Order: sequence, then structure tokens, then C-alpha cells
Amino acid sequence: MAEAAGVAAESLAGCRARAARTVLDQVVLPGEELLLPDQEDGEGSGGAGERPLRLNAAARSRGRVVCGPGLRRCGDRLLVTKCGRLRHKEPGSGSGGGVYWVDSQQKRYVPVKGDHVIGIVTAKSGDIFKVDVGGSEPASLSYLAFEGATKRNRPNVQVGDLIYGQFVVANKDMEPEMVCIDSCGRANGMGVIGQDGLLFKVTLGLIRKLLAPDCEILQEVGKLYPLEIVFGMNGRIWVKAKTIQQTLILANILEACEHMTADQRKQIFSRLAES
Amino acid sequence: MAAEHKTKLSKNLLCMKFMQRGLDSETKKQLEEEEKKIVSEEHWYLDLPELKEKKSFIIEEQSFLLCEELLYERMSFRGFNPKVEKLMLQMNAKNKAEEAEEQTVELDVSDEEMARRYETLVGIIGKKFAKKRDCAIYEEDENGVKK
Repeated sequence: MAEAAGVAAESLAGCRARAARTVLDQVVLPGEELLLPDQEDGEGSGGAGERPLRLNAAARSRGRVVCGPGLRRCGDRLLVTKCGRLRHKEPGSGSGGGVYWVDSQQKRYVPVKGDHVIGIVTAKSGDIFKVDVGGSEPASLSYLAFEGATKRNRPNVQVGDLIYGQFVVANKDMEPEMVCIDSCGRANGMGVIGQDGLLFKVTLGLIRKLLAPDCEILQEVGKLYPLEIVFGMNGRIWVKAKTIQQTLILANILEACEHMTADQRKQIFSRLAES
Repeated sequence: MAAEHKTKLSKNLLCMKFMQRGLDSETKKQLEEEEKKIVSEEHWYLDLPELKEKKSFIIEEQSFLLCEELLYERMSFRGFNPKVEKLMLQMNAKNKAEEAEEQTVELDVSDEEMARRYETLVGIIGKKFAKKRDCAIYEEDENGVKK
């Protein structure tokens, strides 16, 4: 499949291989090739005026570029594999050339190592639990992967429980494995999610939007009434409030806020604040 | 009689250990060379052009954690779950701390004091491992007066 994509890319490459820098925050389509900043000069400008004098060392000192979700490496260029907006993040402490990724929208989750997800325990077989995380396979969770769990002291997990954990193994060749402790052995909020509450599913893009540091939606929601939310990167959100009605209102808001403009949101919040 | 005609012995037989004493050096050398030839011919080698590993500077990552900065996923508002609220503060502060440069560690003990301590420390530890003959040196130094 990679070869087919490569061939298709080559045929398209003849048409246009744009510089990544010029396409930032614009929509890109699968099959496009993007040139990294220091390759443009050599390829782009044909007979344009003066060429900047560049030493070879300068070109290489640019460091490593990370190509994130939605992009793949194709020789020296980046190949787009998902449609969406191209984003770029500058390197923080000078290590490497920054991160490029495609901000796309999808509902189907593919397990990725390091992601925190909410799973539902579907089976208990011997020493491991099978947890449904919304991917192609249920993830396996060992009973020792909880804080303070030993062979004698087993965690209290039943079929049907909600688990908040992270992936340690997640690739296309193996069954995903998750754990509820971090590398130091501490839970850090992971483990069985408590009683009651409501679990519902949203798109993956909404989760990332809500978890952005400057998200207004959550700040406004937090002012309504006491509540608890857990976000899973697999598109699942668990909410809990004091009464069932409040919980349902919260779930409806979060599901709907994806398609609302800021004004509509403010209207709804003001109406809720009144009642 | 028998010694006049040198019976033609097979190579395998000549290679055997009990025959080595009787052989002359020439035949021995010949045998060795032939063995080496056979051995080197049996070695396998790849007949491929030299593959140059291109040092690629593009790393592929499928995780959004590197790309975007996201808050901690468990949240609690207005005191609904105090443990989660504490965790929120901890984890979000950790994220910010990782971003910012490492703060300089405040020293509990100043450098000068450390140097002074070390000066005396070296003497004390050295005394422990000094042999009987060397003890005299330490005695002098301690009192500052030659005994």
C-alpha cells in the first residue's frame, strides 16, 4: 500500500510539490507532497534573481523534523495521507526542526502508544482483562498493572467497568496493551472510573479541541454546576454531575458544541445559567 | 621394495592426523592450501551493491501528544471530586514546568562551605586508610605541632 501511495505521489509530484511553509493552516489533500523549508530554494526558484548563499552545514543543522499524524515520510519530503489543515509547531528548546501534522477529523480511533483512553471491560480471562477501546481489537490489561496490585491483592475490576488507562503497546502488528500505572508505578488518576455518570462518544477532533489549553467551552461549563469529566483520546467522554438531569444537559452540550458557533454557545449557556 | 613405490594415498588419508608426521613439508603446505581454498569457497557472501543508509532526519510519529499541548484529561469543577482537582493542578503544572527551562537548583550549602568541609574530610578519611607508618604524618598535622 505504501508503494502504491509512493507511485501515485510521484505522478502528482510532477504537478506540484508545494513548500510546507506556504501551506500552513490550509487544507491539504492526501497524495500531496510537501517540501521542507530548506529544500525549496534548490527546487523552486528556477532562474529567479539571486540565490541565497547557503553552506552545507547550515542546511543540515536544521535538525530533525517530526512528521505527525496524517503525514508520512516519502524520501526527503512529506506525503500527506489525510485531508485536513496542515499545522506546524516550532521546536521549543531548539532540538529539531519542529513538528508538522494534519489536523483532520475522524470518528474511528486507532490505538496509539501513550494515549490515555477510556475503555470498557468486556472479559476477564485468567490474569488479563479484555478492554474495548473502540479500536479494531480489544486491548489487554494485566491485573498487575494497577497501583498497589500484587498477586494476592487483586484490583476490584468487574466486567462492564470503565477503565481510564494508557497504551504501552499499540501498533498495527500486535494486539494493543494498556496499563493503569505510569512508568514510576503511580496511578496518576488512572484506573477504574467510579460509579454512575454517563459515557458517550464524540469525534476525535472535538476531544482535542476541548483539551486545548485555551478552550472556552470547558471554562464556561465549569461555572454551571459541580461536575466531573474524563476525556478519552478514543473519542469517549465520561461525565458525572449531582443529578441525572444535570448529567444529561452536560452530555448534550458537549456533543453539540462541535457544530455551534461561539454566539450560539453563549446563548445556551446564558439560558442555562438562568434556569 | 615397498619403500620404493610410493603408493598413491588419497588426499583425505593424507590429511588425517596420524599421517602428518610422515609427510614432508611440501605436501603439507599443499594440503593446507587446498583446504583453505575449499573453506573460503564455501563461505557465503551477498552479491548486492553497497546499500547506503541515508541518514533520514524525518521521524514519523502517530501520536498527537507531541504535536499539540493538551490539558490533563480528568477534570473536576467546583469541588465535585477533590482528588481529581488536586491531580489537575499537579499534572497541568507539570506540563508547564516541562516546557519552561529548568530552574536553577537552589543550593542548600554554599560552595565555600563545601570546599572547607572537603578539606577536612579528605584528612579524616585518609587517616582511616593510612598504614601504621603513615600514622605519624597525620598526628603532626592534626595538632599542628610536631611530636
